Amino acid sequence: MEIPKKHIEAFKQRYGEKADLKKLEEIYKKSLITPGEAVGVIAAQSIGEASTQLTLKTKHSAGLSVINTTSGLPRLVEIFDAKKEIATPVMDIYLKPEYAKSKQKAAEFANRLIEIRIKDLVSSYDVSLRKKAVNLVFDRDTLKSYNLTLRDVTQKISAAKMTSSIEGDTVTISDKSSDNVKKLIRLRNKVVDISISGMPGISRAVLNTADDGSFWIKTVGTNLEEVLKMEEVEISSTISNDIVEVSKVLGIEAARNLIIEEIDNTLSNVGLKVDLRHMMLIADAMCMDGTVRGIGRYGLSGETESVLARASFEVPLKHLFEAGMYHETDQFKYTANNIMSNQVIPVGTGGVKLVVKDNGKGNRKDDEKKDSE
Amino acid sequence: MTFVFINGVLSGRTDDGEALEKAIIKDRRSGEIPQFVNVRYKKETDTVMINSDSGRLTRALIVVKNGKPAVTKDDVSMLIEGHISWDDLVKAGKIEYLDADEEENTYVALDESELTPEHTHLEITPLSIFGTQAGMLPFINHSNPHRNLPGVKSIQQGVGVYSTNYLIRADNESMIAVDQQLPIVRTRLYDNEGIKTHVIGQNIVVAVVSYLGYNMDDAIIINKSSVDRGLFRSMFFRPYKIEETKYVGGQSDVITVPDKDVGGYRSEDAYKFLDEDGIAFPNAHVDSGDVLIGRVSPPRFISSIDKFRLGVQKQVESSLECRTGESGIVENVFITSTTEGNKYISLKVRQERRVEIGDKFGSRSGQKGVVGMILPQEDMPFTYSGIVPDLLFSPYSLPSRMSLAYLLELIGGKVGAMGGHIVDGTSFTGESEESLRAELKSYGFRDNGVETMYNGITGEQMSVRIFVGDISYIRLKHFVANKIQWRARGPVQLLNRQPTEGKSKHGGLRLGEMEKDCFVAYGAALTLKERFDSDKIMVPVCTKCGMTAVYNVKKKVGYCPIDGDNAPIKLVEVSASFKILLDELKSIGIYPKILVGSKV
Repeated sequence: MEIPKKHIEAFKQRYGEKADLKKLEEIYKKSLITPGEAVGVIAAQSIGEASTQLTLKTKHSAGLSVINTTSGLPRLVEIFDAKKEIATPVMDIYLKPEYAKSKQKAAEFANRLIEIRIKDLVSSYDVSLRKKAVNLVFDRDTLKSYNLTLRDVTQKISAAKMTSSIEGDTVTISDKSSDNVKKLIRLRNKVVDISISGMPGISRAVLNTADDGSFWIKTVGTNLEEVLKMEEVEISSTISNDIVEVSKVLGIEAARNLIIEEIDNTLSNVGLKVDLRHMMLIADAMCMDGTVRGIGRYGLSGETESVLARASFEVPLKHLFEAGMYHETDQFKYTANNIMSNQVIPVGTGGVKLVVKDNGKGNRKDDEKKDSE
Repeated sequence: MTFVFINGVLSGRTDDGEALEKAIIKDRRSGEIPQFVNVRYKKETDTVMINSDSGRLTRALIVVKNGKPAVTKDDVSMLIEGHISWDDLVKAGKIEYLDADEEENTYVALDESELTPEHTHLEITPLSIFGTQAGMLPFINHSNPHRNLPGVKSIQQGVGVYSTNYLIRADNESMIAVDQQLPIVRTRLYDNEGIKTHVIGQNIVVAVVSYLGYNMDDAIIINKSSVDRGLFRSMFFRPYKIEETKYVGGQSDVITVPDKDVGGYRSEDAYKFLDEDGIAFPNAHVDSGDVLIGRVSPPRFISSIDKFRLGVQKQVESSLECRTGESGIVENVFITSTTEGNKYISLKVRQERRVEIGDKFGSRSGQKGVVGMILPQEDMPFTYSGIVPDLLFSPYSLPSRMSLAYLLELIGGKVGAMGGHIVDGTSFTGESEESLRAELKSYGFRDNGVETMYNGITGEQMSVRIFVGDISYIRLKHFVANKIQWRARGPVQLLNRQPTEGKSKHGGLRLGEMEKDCFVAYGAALTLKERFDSDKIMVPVCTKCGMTAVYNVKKKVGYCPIDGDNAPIKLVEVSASFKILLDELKSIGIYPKILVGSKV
């Protein structure tokens, strides 16, 4: 039996160079899963049992400066469904030592991250149908506190291909083609959402202190790709909790690790302990074809090879008609279809096949002729 | 300006709502307005609500004026002696009925001693805060409130005399206790005549002891000799109802002893209890499967051609038989007719129900349990004076539930049994624990109720003294005999050949989706297949077209509807439900082609 190198190294590191490798082999053999073990069902049962104890309600800490993330059953559902837009996207940004050590520098960086839009700066705005224009009245104090001038604002507006004029505190954006209120209001909504500074997608950033006294930042909203490009950021440890985003930015292996970590965190937050290997199996299954797939109708279960297994899960007619149209073949290799047709399932004791018969003839194709003789 | 609502409808307005409220209450007390008209002035919304409609819950309270109840001691003594009645007090405005709305503006004293000038009403008795059902529970002011709810439930479900005319009634399932006793420890509510004629429960000797392990976790042990003497014996009545329906076209059911040529004829033995009129005679000892009322009906469908050619249509047997698992004695037979003029027969079967393992019992303090063992008297523990308890109750049921009413009733029952008197267990006003203890001591017992006991099997003295006393126990209506169900082999459903469901159809217990998952998780593939083998069939499959063929297993010949006589046919073992799936796929236009390969 061949033992992976990393185990031998770890064994020697623990018990010294002269450690008995036969002992390791024994341990290794014991810890291997028996062929035919229904690992998927066991993983599903292990996590399913624990999640019955999760409550639907999330603990809410409204009013606190702590960033509130989805937890409990809703978060678990989010992970397993591989949701593209999660309820509370959060990033943990770690900084390079020179920024992490100084509170002022870290706070400055955190403030720079927060996305500022025009609607955060104006004191009032309205639309004028007569002038065919949108009027934005800016607040000078707010502008000053963000170190911005009206010129910065108009620059951004013209970058968005709109013409603007300054008059005192008011910026007027006129559009001759907008001849009804509906169009003007659409224009207004567009203008107000223009981002002036900061990182798009990040609405809040909170400074946190680590155990060693260094500072790190937690943000509401994610933009991992852009944040990792910033020079102040320590790339190796900065992470987002959006699995789909991580799989795009850092790759599928990172997404797999994140799935495992997030399941473990949500379960251990409510004091549940589930073996990590069950989560690893599920994460592997979700990531095995290179993109993150959810478990469910549009993910793993909906893409099973067997027609009957798919049909027995959800919307059976759709799958059956499609199978009829595309001439699909069901090999009866799965559990669901074998149970449906009352055959032995290829799991556990059913996974064993007879290879050689009493008369010495085998089970291969060319033996079949001899059998009928 | 105050708006006035009568029965929820805006009906007028007044300048002074408070004055209107006072005037209506004054008129009601003087008898000028009916006693059930209630009024409330709502300060927050500045409205007057007057209610006189039906369906409101009202309760009676004594009117209080200046801290003095309107009902005087003279009134009470006059009432007791029968010179005046309750209605006289109500008419005089001394007692009035309040509904939920008017109650909002009152200040009610629970007891006469706590009356102040601010009080507007006085509770007639503190017991009335419990209502009629909880008022029947003794000493519940000592118990955890959560225990009083199951206590009430036990009283509701008790087997006693639910109705004094039970013999001529035809309730669907009725139970009557053969022997009933009023409890030794009673509340004031038991003075009510209605309760005295509808008695539940028996006073029995209970020892609070853990014995042989058969009374763990809310189980109880019952003395077999007590059961033999008739303890908690009940009667179970099951009515059987049948109608002689007339059909369109002049045909009709006939209630009679079926002829032998009737379709579906059972056996002669099954009809042995029927009289000439086709109904089982009273006092017949019937068993399950015996026909109680014989009936023949005209055939429901026109059957196959050869039967049709004979000209005479066969009548079909549709008799009513005694339910499976039940037996008994025919109590009475009623023959009447329905509104359509059809003959209608109701037959009642009585069955004696002894106490058996699994029957449910409860006390009035929410301590209910199931019989775990019926132990012969010789094996039961006994006290130094030779008393053998009827029931053994587990002490582990007490600390977590804190139903102290159970313990007080045990002592109270012991005192009542020794002294030969009724013990008042009314909450708040009944006898105190101290007086019960003192009286118990005067009869020569320890004042805490414990006695030295001996093991009934070994004769050894128990190393601790056991708490023994008398308590009223109630047999609850959940009899095992009505619920027990089992099956090894049995009937299957017509469509999918799977076992039937439900007790009445002698059905199996479903091995569900999650249970299936457990078999898969264990890897017990062959066991799993065996569990689902109940509907397995051999389906002949044409290996050429993959569709179901026709095959005669005995003659070993068959044909395929598509490929004809010479089609290669193989037998495939699948479940009948899977064959239905294939048939349904065919019916919606999908061609499920079975590709058969060699298995070995």
